[in-house]
Amino acid sequence: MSVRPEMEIPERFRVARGTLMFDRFMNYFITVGGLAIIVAVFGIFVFILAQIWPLFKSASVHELRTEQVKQAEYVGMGVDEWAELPVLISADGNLTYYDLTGAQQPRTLQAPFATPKTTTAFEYNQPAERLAVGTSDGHIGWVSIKYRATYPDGGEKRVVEPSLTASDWFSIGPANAKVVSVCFNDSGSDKIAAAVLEDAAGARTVHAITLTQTRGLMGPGRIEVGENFDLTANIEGRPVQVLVPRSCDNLLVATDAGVVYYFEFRGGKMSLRQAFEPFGDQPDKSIALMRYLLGEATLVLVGANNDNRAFTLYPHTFTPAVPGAMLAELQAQVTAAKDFNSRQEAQAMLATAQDITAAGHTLPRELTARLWGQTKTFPDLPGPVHSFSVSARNKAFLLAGDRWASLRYSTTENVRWSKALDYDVIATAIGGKYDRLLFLDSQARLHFFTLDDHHPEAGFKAFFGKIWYEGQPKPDTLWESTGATDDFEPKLSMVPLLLGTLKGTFYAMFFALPIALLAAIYTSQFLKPEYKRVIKPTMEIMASLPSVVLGFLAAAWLAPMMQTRVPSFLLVCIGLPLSAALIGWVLTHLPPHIRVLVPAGYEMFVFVPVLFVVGILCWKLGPWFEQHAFVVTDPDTGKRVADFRLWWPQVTGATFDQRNSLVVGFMMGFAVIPIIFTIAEDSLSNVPASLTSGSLALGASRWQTAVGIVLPSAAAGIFSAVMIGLGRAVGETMIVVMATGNTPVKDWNIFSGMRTLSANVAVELPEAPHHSTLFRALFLGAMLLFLLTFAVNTVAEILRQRLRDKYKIV
Amino acid sequence: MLSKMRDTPRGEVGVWLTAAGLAVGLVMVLALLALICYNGLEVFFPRRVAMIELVPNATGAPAGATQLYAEILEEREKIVSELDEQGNPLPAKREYKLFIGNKDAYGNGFIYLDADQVRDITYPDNVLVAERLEYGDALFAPVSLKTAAGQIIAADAPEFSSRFAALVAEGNRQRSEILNIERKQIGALNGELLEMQLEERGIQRAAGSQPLSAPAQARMDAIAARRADLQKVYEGLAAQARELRATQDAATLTYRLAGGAERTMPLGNIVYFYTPNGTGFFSRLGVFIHQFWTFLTGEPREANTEGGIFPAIFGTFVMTLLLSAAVTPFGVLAAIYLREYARQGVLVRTVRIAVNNLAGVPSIVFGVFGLGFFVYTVGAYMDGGSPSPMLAVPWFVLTFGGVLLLTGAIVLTVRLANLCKANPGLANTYRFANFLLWLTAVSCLGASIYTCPFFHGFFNLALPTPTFGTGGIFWAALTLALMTVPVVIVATEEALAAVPRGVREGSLACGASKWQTIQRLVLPASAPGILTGLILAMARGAGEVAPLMLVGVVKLAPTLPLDGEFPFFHLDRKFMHLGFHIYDLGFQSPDSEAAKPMVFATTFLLILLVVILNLGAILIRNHLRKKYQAGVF
Repeated sequence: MSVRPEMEIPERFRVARGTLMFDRFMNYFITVGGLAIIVAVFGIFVFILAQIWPLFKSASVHELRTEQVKQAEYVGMGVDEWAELPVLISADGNLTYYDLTGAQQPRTLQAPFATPKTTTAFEYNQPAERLAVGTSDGHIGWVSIKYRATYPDGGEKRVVEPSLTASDWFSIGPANAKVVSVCFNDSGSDKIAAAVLEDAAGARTVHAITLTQTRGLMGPGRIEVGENFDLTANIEGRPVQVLVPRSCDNLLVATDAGVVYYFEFRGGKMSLRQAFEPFGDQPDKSIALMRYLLGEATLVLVGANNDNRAFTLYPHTFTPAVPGAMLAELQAQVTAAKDFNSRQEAQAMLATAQDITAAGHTLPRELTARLWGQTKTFPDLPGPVHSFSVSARNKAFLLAGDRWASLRYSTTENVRWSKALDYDVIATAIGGKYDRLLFLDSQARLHFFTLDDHHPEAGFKAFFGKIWYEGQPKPDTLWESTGATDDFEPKLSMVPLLLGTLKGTFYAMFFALPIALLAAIYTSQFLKPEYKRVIKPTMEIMASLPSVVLGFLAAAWLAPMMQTRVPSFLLVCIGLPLSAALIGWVLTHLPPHIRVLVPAGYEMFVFVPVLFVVGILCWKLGPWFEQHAFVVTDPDTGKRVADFRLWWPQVTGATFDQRNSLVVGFMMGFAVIPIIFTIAEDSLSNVPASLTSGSLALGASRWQTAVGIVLPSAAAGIFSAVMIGLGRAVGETMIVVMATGNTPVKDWNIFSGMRTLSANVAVELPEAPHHSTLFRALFLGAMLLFLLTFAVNTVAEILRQRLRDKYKIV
Repeated sequence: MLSKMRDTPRGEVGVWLTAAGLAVGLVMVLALLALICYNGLEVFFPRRVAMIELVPNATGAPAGATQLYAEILEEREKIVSELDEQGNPLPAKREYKLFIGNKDAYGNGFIYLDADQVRDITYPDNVLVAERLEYGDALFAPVSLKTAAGQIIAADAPEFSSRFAALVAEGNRQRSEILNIERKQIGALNGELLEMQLEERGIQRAAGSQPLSAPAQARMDAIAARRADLQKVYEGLAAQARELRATQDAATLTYRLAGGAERTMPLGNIVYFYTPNGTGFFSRLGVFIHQFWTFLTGEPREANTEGGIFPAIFGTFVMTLLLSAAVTPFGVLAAIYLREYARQGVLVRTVRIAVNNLAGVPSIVFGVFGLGFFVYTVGAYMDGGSPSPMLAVPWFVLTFGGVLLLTGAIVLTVRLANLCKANPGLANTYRFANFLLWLTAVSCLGASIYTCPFFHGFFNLALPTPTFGTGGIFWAALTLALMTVPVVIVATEEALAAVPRGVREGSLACGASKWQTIQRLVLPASAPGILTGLILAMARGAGEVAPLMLVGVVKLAPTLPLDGEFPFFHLDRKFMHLGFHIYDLGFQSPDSEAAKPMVFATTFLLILLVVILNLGAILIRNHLRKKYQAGVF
């Protein structure tokens, strides 16, 4: 390669060094800066993704340390909220505290009952921090195992102090029988204790007592035994366990044959409602473990074959095939039932129906009864279960046995974590904040684990799958993020929100599409071009009307007006296009000298007064229309009324809300029409004039040219306009927030509301705690919205560019 | 032959249908604007006050009332849905929607009254309408005035109206004085007290559990002394305000409601009054202008349903200003890069499509990002440092690595042109490597900043009360800037593309450098286009509410984001916003009927702002088009 000799550049052509340097600097600055801005803008996507990511992570558990504790026969373990001071409950009723911070020596405290008795049965309820105890002489009592955190010297160091209070002893059965299973619960207003007792001969009885507390002037008074129910006669077989939920309105008794008896406690009576076999389909039906989850509405069961299932009390319904033949049909079901569970279920339904008739009421069309049924199946356990504990925060539970442990989450039927251990776990505990796990093995070693599982209730299934939530009659997709109580089961399905978004978009497009497209065709093809210059900017300004204004008008003006004026609105919707078509038809059939009175390109101006006349006429005719078309009998007063609001629910069975999809669709139309109009008009106008001229010259009418030549050529552009309008409707927030009731319903009824993804974020995010599952779930909603609109817009944009290239060739 | 041809064009019905489409669209748009304008302005125009004679025990009227002073808001036909036995409609009824005010007497300011409950309607001249601090407007006939000195002036005395006006003006003056004391002077005291409290906390925290050092102890004592002084000043001011309040209550007005009940109220409660009946158009116009002016400049009262909306106007203004300050440089820079510097290819086309689409991403998504990133990440970091600091040694390694990478990236960028020239086959590899190097360097340095163990935040002492770790005007402006950056990029790109190629070539041929060409020819020529983009961005930002709800807008802000207190511009403050005002008042107000006029007025103002901004943008754009259509090289 030959190098040309450098030529001396004359002074006058030289560029100042400063200029050159500045130019180079600007080169780099703009390149780096421009790229950085573009990368940063797309960082939004990455950031939101990073916020969502933890929702789909499983739990991670790490062993912190192991501590040797005193050898004893332990029956349970409890722990404080901070997982610093676990307590081991031994069979002799002693409680031993181990300080895991190492600040204090282990302490053993005696349960502070006034008179010590020999304890034979225990039931520790971690969420309630209470240990129920049964004695060898037919008494029960309980100890509150509370903790108190103090901060000595106002410092930030926490000292957790145990505090124990014991109840009196209450006699529950014969004094010569020992308690083999005990359960006590307190709903605040009611207290119920239940026990299985065994006398010296080995005969077992089941007793339940109500406890009443007198309210004195000086706070709560003494607790006394109210009634004692002997339930033994209702139970076949040998009872082994009793359970009382916190609601204190029912009671469960399990037998060694694997049958669970469900007693309802109502009006001071304990009556058997249902018996069921949780593992009735297995060769060995017996129950290895039966415990409540947090909230005490779900029952976790483990069978003899290590199956793990959950049962819930939920409304069972029955609708007879022949109205009025309910009792007979239920009776037939009872006799026809093949297995124990379905027979018992039919029996319980029959009993409910008989109760209603016995009380002198008429049977409803659909019979509803809350009965137990299986709602969840978890993966099988690796071996027999030796210990169980329940989280006090959420619906998680921990099962452990010989050399294994498994942490599961009830809502999603998900195994959060499982591990093969090298010891036999005899007691477990989950830290109060769901951040620690404790295992006590048969060698009296205490294993202490950290649990890192911030979003156990999340997961793909929770957001998109059907889940059988507690108390629901069937698996469903629901959104209900917050409840009144701590044990509320959050329902975080995105499905109703997605459906709501689609519903809102559909109704918005339903109004906007015809108006916007017709207007675009007219403006580009038929209107005198000089008016276009005014009309287009007017429509464009509309596009920038703040949506909060539209939302306010929808809520404060349109919704109340529309409520009584639906028939008028329907008439206007029919009347306007009809009148336009009529004018067109009449004009074409008039002689030409009259026809030219409306010059081409001025039809719109002629139609405006017609619009007002027809519009007002239809509006005024609305009540008349209502009186003839929408007459029903008011169920409350029995009078004949002409009211669309009553007619719609009676005829279609769907609801009628004041803030409904019709209002939202109409108002969203205002936001969407200008966008679709502008873009569609652009693409229609951009069709080369040579095409239209050719068509007109060949004798096609202007309408034929518009429909046959222009529309097909601009089809891609119009489609992209529709897509962009769709994108706007999908993301519209304020109109939806203000003009719908924001109830996450899943129907397509035009007279009911909805909850869209965007409205959901706007309503719930300001109150969502930072980094909670709800917070991240809302980010997931935002992400779905982002992806939805981004996809729709990209399709539209690519189509538009295609179209542009196409006309370059033409 | 000709006679066989159709003399009617085909498809006229279709043409008329499309015409109907446009007509409906336009009428809908214009009717909506007209509705807002009418309702928004009508709020301020004084209505005549009617004296309504009721039939005995009228249903719908306040209990026991036989007469009412009322503004007739609407007279309309009531839809009767019930049918008679034969299924025929019953005769229609008429009803009035009335504003009766006097919420202290009647409980509710608005009532609906069937026409058959009204016996007679007259318009007496002696009625006054008074706007009050509490209980909304009062509609009454004056009886007498009692001055602070105890002098009683009857309503029929000639000097009554002038004395009344003077006393109300005096009351207003005293009220603003009280406000000045309570808001400004006591506010300044509170600010100083808060600062001292933070300083104390800082001294204590620095000392830890050790006893305080001598200078620290001295400073603590000084603070305590100063606090005692301030307390004294505060008590003095409070006493002054109390005294003024007492004088406010001294003069009273006795008035009569329709139907005869006499009532008394302190004059300090009255903000403004006017005579609605028997006055000419111009005096009513005067009332209109006064009301409108108060609305623009006043502060909200009574849960925002009365008074003005100045803080909301100001908040919107400052936020929009901040937004445009943030969005302009970034948008323009990105657009210049895309149009003038980037090599036009598939990548840039993709980026362009993506940027276009970003403009269509729902605003709430940006709000979500703003909350998660600006407020909870950057804001929390500024307040209290890293939430998960690294250990010192790995942090130094990370930072050093980041600096090294950055140096490498800079060197490679500078040498890039030469390298590419030397090895044209590897040019793309070099470019990609350079991009990756920058990305890793910036990520490393970002991570190093975020995990810095030595930075404990600028507002650590105020914790756990967040300063920047909660919504505020700065974060709101940045969020909206991010939302509107695509608008500016697209508009600027279009403007840059509209500058003819000849201009650039001529400039370069004359020996100007690339930047000189851009700076002196391309940018000035495309300035109107950039301005259009900016105005459109401002219009979109000013009208947006959904993201603001997440990042710092409040229904009632005690202070403005810009005031006379150091450092004058309070970026961390929460603010009021016209759009949110509409949402809050129209949707969440307890008395929605009373709030409605206010919302309509606010709506009118917001629409006016947005329409003016848009019209400006459109005009500039048209002007620009003309200029370039004429002046093609």
